[in-house]
Amino acid sequence: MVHSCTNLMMQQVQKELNASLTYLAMGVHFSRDCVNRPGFAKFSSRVLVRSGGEHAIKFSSSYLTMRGNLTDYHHHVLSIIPSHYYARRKQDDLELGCPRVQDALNLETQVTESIRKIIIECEQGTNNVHDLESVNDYHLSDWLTGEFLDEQYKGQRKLAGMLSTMRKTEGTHGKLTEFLMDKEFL
Amino acid sequence: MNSVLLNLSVFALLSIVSVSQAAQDSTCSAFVNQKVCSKKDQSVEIDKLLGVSCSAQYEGFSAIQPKIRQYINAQIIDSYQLTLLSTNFGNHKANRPGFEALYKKLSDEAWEDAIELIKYNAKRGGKLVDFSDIRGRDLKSMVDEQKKSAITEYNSLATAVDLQKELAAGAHDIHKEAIRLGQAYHDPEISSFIEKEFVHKYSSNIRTLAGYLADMNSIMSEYTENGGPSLSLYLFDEYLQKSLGVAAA
Repeated sequence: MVHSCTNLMMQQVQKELNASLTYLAMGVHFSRDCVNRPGFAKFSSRVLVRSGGEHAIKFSSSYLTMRGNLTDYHHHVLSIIPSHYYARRKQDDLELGCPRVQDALNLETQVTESIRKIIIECEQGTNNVHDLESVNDYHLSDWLTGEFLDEQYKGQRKLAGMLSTMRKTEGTHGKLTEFLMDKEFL
Repeated sequence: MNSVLLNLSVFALLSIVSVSQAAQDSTCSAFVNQKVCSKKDQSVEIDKLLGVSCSAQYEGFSAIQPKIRQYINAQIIDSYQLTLLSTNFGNHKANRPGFEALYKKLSDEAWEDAIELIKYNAKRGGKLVDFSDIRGRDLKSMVDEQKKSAITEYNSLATAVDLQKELAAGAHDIHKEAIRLGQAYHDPEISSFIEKEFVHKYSSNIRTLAGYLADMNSIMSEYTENGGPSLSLYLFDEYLQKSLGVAAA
């Protein structure tokens, strides 16, 4: 694989791990007795955490090793887990569903954007900065476009749908909508 | 002498009465009633309501909670470390699908356990778990540790045994804290949870890994001057693949 493209893939592993920890923290928040949203907790820790964690494994273990990477410097994959913004939130912040769903949607959008950037780079990657000839990694571009972008856009659609239902009732029955929606995920 | 004893017991009785009086004032119903009377709209702010005596917290949990949080982070860090080991054996140079699957399985187990503990923490009314220290020192030292020496099939098993023993010790530590009989608190619910979910699992995992190490030890000592232990390792990896149900690629 071409260096510039491999580097972005390794960074993506860290981003996916970061996302999965963020969703885990979100699940913890929803599980608290004073928040009590077991449905949202289930959604964030089962669906979102799993997808982030599985993506990380798919990127690192499956794909990169399949393409002959991660032989000598595989430690880099985990060496820096970037600061996940969720930890910076106030610890006993008690705001409920709506802003959290928005957070999840924002994070998914970021992940999608980052996958798009990998595709763009891998279609014209170079081994050195000064290389004139670029290499199109057809296989990786196809794999990312077919498997990952599909999953990302579907996930974003689901979150966006939840968010607009919540927004519509925000002024009048916000708390009740949230209560009812929570039970749908159980 | 008798009168001294009598005085002492009267004193003890009085102090019990006053303690139970104080306990009554901090009940959930006392708190709710007081809030409802003092507020017109009768709705009590949820965090203030649950922050005191109406939350899910009781008994020794608040004292033991820091240990549980620590243990959650330890499980997550171990899970990452095992993922690294697994990835190491999954590349084309090492090419040991059996070892890859073994460490993947242990890593997934640690991850699931972390989620189980998080759920338990929430069940007992615990506060948020802080994952921020996962990024810190531990992860750095873990990577440095793995960089220090080349990872081989043999020494990776030793690493795995150490990791499992650390996790077992963590579970025992929480258990010890929970059953402090005669101390300020005693929480059999926590100790039972720890016994059910963790204690026995680690004894089997450690036994299995120790068994693998013993096998590796004997088969690797057998090789002749003509060749290294590569055939032994290859066959042992095949055995691992079979026993872990790895699908043929």
